[in-house]
Amino acid sequence: MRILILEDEEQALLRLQKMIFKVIPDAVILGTPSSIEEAMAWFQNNPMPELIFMDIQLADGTSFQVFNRIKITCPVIFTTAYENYALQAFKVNSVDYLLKPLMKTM
Amino acid sequence: MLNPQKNIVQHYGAESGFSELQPNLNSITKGPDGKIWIGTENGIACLNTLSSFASYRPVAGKYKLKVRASANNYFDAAPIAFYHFTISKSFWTTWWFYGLSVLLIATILYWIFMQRIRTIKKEKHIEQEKFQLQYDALKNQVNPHFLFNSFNALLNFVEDDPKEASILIKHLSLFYRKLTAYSQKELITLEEELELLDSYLFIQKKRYGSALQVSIDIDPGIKKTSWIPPLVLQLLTENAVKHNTVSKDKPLYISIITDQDQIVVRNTINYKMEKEESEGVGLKNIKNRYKLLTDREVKQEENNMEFIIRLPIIYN
Repeated sequence: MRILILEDEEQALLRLQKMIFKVIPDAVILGTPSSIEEAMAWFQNNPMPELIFMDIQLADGTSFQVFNRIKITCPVIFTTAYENYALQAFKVNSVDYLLKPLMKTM
Repeated sequence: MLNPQKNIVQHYGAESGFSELQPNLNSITKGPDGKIWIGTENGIACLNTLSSFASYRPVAGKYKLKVRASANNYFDAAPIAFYHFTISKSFWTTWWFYGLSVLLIATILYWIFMQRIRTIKKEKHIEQEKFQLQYDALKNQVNPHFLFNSFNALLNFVEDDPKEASILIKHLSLFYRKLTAYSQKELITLEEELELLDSYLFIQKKRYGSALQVSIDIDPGIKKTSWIPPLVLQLLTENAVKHNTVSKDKPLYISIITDQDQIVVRNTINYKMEKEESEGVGLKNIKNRYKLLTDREVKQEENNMEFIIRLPIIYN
């Protein structure tokens, strides 16, 4: 599965990648932009991935900005420490809203 | 019209040679207070008791001086001349003096009253500022998101690098320990603030990695002898992280140095696309806090590259 991860914190990224590989051993992490700017650059040069993990508080703003600029056609899973963005996340094509710290459910 | 101190009038004869008859001058006058003024030698009219006239203040009002002159002591036959004079009121008994006194006393009372209110307000204001700063710092930290994000980073270390994880836990607990201990105080030493900041930055650096670069160069001589309101440096660094992009491509550089009588906190500017809600509130509180502590101001500068805050160093 071709996956893109938007995350600005180093440790959070490492943790998420590790968990993805545990669940989907054949996952391919296409890129890990840490800001909206980097993400926009990535989208301009690459086709739409199959799944996007998005931290909401990115280095230069909230990841909702990405949706205002380009059409995201694949499912999105939000990962954030903030519970109050859930409604906003619901309005875009998100399939899940994971709260940090990320933990595997039993 | 005579002024109120006047308690003596002298009558001179108009004709030449009249003054020679003065010993026989007989005059009498009765004041509005009923006291009799008597004529004496040399045409002087004064209060009936000669010994005390010097200190007597006559009652204000209209007087009529009756004068009879005689060369041979037959006063009854002599014509009476009337002289009218008025003794004016002492100025402190006049209505305008009462008016002004009342006004003056009222003004003084009002001034004292306002001064007192101002003092109370200022005291209350100091308390409020102190509370606000503590509240802001606590809100941000006890803010569960800081904890959640820290735990998230921690989880990763626990699995990959337990030794690093234990150091991170140590700093997390140190940070909260100091936060609770210092936030109630009005001032802490610069050394205490730097220790708290050290733990805070350790946690933040673990989260952001090389995207967050901090250098601190404080004159070690003043760490124990200078004071700072608790959490000021922590709030300033936190603001820098909150408002600016912190990414590997665009790292955030923060430097904290001493420059003569100032602590200079600078950070590179790379504002986020969306402004944070609470922007400027924390900084305003810091400025207000210093205003109540010292005459020297907290200075704020901004150019294309950097955001700079200069805090006055407070010595004992």
